[in-house]
Amino acid sequence: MTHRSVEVPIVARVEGEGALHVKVEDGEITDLRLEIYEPPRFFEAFLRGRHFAEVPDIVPRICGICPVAYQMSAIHGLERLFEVDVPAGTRELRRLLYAGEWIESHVLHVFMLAAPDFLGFDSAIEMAKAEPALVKRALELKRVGNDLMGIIGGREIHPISPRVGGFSRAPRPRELQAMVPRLEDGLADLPGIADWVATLPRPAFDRPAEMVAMVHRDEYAINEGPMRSTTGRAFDARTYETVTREEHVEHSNALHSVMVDTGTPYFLGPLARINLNAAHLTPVAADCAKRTGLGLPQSDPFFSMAARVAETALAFEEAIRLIRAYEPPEPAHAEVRPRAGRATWTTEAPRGTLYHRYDVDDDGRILEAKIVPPTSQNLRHMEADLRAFVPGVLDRPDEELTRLCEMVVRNYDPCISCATHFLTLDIERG
Amino acid sequence: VSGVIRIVACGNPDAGDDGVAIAVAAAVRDRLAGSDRAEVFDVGPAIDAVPLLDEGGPVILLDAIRTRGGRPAGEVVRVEAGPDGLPVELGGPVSSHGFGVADAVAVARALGSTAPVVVIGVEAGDVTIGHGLSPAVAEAVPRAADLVLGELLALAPTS
Repeated sequence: MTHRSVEVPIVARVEGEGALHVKVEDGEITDLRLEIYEPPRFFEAFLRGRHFAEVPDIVPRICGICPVAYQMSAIHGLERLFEVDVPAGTRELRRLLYAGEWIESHVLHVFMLAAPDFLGFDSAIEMAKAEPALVKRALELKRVGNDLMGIIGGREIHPISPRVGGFSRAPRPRELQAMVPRLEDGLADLPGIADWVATLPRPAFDRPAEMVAMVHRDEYAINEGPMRSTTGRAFDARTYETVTREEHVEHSNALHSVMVDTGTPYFLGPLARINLNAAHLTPVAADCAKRTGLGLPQSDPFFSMAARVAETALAFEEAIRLIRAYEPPEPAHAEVRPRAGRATWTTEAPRGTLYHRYDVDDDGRILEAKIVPPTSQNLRHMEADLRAFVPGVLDRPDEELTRLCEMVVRNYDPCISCATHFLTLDIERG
Repeated sequence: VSGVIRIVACGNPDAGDDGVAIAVAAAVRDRLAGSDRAEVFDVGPAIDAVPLLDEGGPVILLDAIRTRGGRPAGEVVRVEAGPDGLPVELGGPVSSHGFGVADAVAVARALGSTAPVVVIGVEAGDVTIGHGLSPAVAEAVPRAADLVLGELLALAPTS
């Protein structure tokens, strides 16, 4: 019997850490486990007993890449429970803040993680050496997103101005308008970037998948809207936990999400969103999608990078539109009177739908919190991808096999995805 | 030396010792109060330090580190970057963020940065999300800040 096991540990990673174990016997996968450590579990416990007003300061600390997503799901959910009427303009300012996060997160993934993978570079450093002008421009584009977040959020790493009821301080129109020329320059680059993405060698890996995302009647859904799936499911934040279920998995301290009725995994993120929101793509975003070769509907996960490029264009276009029409909310925030009950909400984090639930008492204390990040919802689907993908590449040498497995995982942009390549290979041969 | 001196702190303040650089930057900021000798930045993920390494002036990078082979938690290390980046024993993949300072310096160099770069690193122990600094690392904060101020004096010995 021939044993072959591949271990891909990814260690000491602040955004999460994980490892992939694949065991092959006589050409068959006998064991495949993806382990990821998830910070939200700690935060759920940490939130218990806190006052609701503290929540927007605590939850962004869960992720250094997408703090806004955590704030938005929490704030919207609590506002619905407390029946808060937010000041006019709040909704638009939140969408603008979220656009900033999509830009910085998507650009990071496309240029620092996906592109080096597709081009066969060992790291972003190799890619920077080979394509310095492109990487330099990518960092400038990312900066535009960071700066938007800084202006609106009051601070870049963990924004401090969003609060239940609105913003503690709304930016002055002048501050935002100064961003427009940079946003326009960035947007002008995206069709060229889409053309470049179309030239990258991409492993074809089309397979059926149930993709899930929020939808909205009037716009590409980010902050508001019910859930739809590509197989026809319809639900929303209030029914989220009756439609999907988190399962404890023996091999991992992470929870895996599946559909309650079928027990099957589902797929969240940019590719799911673009499939379910195609009618609301903005003009440059639609053009970029076309240029990348992304035909819709599309279930090949390796088109996620193309979807990210199109969504980056959308975020730039939306940011320009929202800034041009911007009038600061007055007052910056509404008064909030807590009441007991259950708050639920979803928003579209860069990596996919992020679900929050809070049980609150009459004084606005959090009795229980539940946070289901997109990475943990995608975990089971990632494993399914790997099970389908690995048999087709088993003939490759260990080093390449490891790289391809990583590529499948990184393609989802999981929180572990920023981890540098750190591989040790254990090969057992009988 | 021409150009503004930048002090750039990387790390997550909510992940145990990974937040040490942010604490060192705060201590440096306190001690520099009123001085225009340097600009201090908290960038969080090290990738966001790259643009700051390409603006001409010297840079002092602060980060929690894990050296290959390991040193006792709280040990403060000073390393100068060369034309290609940092020595590899610091740039080990077990940096406390996936994309660490060594990667940031290497990318900046690949993009043409010639800025003088010094890294003041503090060996991290516990980097658990939600924990504060471990005692050994908290004790290292003033020592690391002293080292940063010493660097500043060497770079701009005026006033």
